[in-house]
Amino acid sequence: MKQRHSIIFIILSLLVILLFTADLGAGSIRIPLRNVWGALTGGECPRDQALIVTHIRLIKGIAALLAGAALSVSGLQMQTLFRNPLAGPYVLGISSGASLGVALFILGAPFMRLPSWVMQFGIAGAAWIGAGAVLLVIAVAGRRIRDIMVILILGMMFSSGVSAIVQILQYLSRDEALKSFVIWTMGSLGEIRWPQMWILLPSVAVGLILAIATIKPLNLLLFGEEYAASMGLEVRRSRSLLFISTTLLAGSVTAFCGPIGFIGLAMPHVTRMIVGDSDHRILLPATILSGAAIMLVCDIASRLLVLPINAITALVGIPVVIAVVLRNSHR
Amino acid sequence: MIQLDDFTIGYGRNTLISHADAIVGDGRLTALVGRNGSGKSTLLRAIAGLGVAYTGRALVEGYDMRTIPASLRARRLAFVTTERIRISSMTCRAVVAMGRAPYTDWIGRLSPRDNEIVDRALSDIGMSDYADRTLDSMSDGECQRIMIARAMAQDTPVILLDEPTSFLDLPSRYTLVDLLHRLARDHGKCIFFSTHELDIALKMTDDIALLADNTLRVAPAREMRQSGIIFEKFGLDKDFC
Repeated sequence: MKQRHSIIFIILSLLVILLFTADLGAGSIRIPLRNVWGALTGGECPRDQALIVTHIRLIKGIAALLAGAALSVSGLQMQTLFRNPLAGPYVLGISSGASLGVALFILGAPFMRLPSWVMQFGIAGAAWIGAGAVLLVIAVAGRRIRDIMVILILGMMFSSGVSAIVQILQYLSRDEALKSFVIWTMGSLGEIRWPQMWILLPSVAVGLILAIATIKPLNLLLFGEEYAASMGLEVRRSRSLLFISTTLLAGSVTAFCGPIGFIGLAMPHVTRMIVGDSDHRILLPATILSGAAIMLVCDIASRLLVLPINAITALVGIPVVIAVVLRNSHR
Repeated sequence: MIQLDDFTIGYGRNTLISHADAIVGDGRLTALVGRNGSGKSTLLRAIAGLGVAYTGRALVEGYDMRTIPASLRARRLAFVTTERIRISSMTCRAVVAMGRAPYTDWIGRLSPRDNEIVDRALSDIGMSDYADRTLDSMSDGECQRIMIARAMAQDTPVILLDEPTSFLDLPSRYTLVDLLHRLARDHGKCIFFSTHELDIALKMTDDIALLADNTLRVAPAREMRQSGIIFEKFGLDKDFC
């Protein structure tokens, strides 16, 4: 690794630590950093503040870290696999699948009179099943289809079709159910409690381990599938691994936090610009850090401005996407 | 060595090559010539085992490339396609180093020997000065040469190239074919490339594989020239070159 890369990694890591700490302190009740530290280490801190830190903000901070890292890595995987700068974690229809699951659940739930904690898990579970079902369809189709561009187009069409069904469900649903669905689509890091975290954390961890295991395949896929195959890549197996990894990453985050847009699309580009290298051995770990950092920034902003997280990520992400498109058109 | 036995290939009802028996030998540079649409690229892809359906046998070093694992395939055969590869912010050295993928560990770490081979491939093709340049700042011809250096770094007994001369200017075409010839002769490699440059094929290669009328004929270049069949199939005058 070049010295330049080591410096970038050190700066990014320090940035993530700094932002994570700031994230724990920020909110409607300002908690001084000294007290945050006390609450985390069992030191000196007023009891009410300690509870806020350990039961609310710590979980939210970890959720932001995981969501940012997971969505950005998933976006990077899809951009490399499809060799398309505008691909993102949701290009295969993972968020549409999750939306369908949630829409069906929210519509159905009022008839079942479920307690609220079941509702919380139910929404995440339904989203997960929806995202997984989409993956299954794409994976089965992917084994038969050779041309990756056909898979991309199928994924987009499938995704639009599912969105249409979700719209029909929305149209037919009652006001209250419609509102909970719309709120879910706005995204939130605040719905997670420790029990949910114990599902989210391992899912994202396994997704990231798979992503690291596919670093060499990703580097080969930069040359396109035909070249990659001629250099010894088992293309279909790598494709499947990437699909599983992306579903674990983007699917789990979407299940628990709602469909968070733009981070997965924008951050791989920002990271490429920062590290100045397409080698995934550098790019992938750097994307984990930069994705986590930007999500923490968005979370702090959303808390200070009291706005839904999706609005913030879009406002941060859109300029980046425009810059990328303009930069490519000047080539 | 590439060996075709009773090899038939085509799309749907359209047969491109019918019941061909041919050998493309080691230590020789062989040009694959034929009119547009005669099936040159399809034949190369079929030999490389890149998912083109055919009947009969196509063996590379005695192996059917469709049935052996990709990692073993990549140690026997390297392929340079016509696709323009432009990877932003990837240095030429990194591109050539990817040719070592079949030999490196799970994350693609290069050994000192791998680095030596990469340096040699770059210098053999005359691109050592470009090692730290990135592909997005280079011409098509220069990128093509880097992709060929990558295939050389793959260190395989057989190299297939699909129209490697098409992006190059005239002097570079001669230099490249001369280089391929030396590589075949000095390292005993079997190098098989498709081309539209009939004059280069006739003057600078050992053998010519002529693809015409659904038939594949392989013969020494001199024999092809003397028999006149190649001019006949291309509708050219015998004094063409």
